[in-house]
Amino acid sequence: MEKKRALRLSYRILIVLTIVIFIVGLYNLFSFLSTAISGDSFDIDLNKNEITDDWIFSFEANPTNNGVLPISLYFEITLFDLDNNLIATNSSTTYIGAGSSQSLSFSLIIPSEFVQGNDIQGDEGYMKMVMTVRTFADLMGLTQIMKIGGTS
Amino acid sequence: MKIKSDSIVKAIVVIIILTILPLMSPSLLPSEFYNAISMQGGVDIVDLLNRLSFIGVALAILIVLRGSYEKMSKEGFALSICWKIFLLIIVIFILSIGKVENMGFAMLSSRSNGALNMVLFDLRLIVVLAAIVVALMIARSIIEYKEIQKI
Repeated sequence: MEKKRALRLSYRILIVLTIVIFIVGLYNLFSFLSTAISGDSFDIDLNKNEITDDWIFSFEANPTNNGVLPISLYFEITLFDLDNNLIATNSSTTYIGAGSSQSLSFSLIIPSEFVQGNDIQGDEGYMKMVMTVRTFADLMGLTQIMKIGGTS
Repeated sequence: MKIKSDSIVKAIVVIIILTILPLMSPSLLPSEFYNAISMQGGVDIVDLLNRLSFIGVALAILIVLRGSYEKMSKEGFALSICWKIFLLIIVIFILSIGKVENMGFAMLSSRSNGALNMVLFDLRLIVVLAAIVVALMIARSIIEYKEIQKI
């Protein structure tokens, strides 16, 4: 009888806990995304290295976590040519506590032949951006993959 | 084996809501609606509705069978365990947006003018917790069944 009661109590507590984790986890992820993905949070620059003639693609972000739990943020940018050959890739990870902001930056060196004028041309390759946001000690999260440019 | 009439009524309601309506919905709703969801969300609506209707049929069968056997009979006990496992499958179905085989990974994607945008939700933690809940429920049913067998 005691075992049965203990089991019933355990799974009832676990059901409530699961629902709470689900709601709080999703709320945390979406409250972070709603504020982090705004025009002011991210900055992308393309500058020429006059010595080597290569181009430096720099990425800077200063996202704020408005959620109730800390999150970890992983960001990766990869550039490919039209034959799917890797041109450059870099990534960075940061940990943002609840209610605080954290900067994240990295740069990619792009050989000069891939940059026409002062802009990366979509018809010469494509850019893949991967953003992973995780919460609850990295046990729950979402990954956003964006492929921009190129032909498909 | 005597089938309870209320089980048949419940099964009919489940069949109507989860099987007939989803299968009929493509002809009842405008095709633009389906196209928009398929294009913007990257969800195969027809496949999702087919899977939902299959779940409806399986649920209706389980309801009828559960209403046909005594709760503490051997068959009733087996059905009780099947019922709990089926509930877990429904939870995984919802969390994975219809793809039970993804086990808690939900994927949404859209494509426009060569640009691809894909979002993957990792909800495996919830699936694991739900599986633990079901395991505890099954353990309790086993203890209960053994106790009744002893009497």
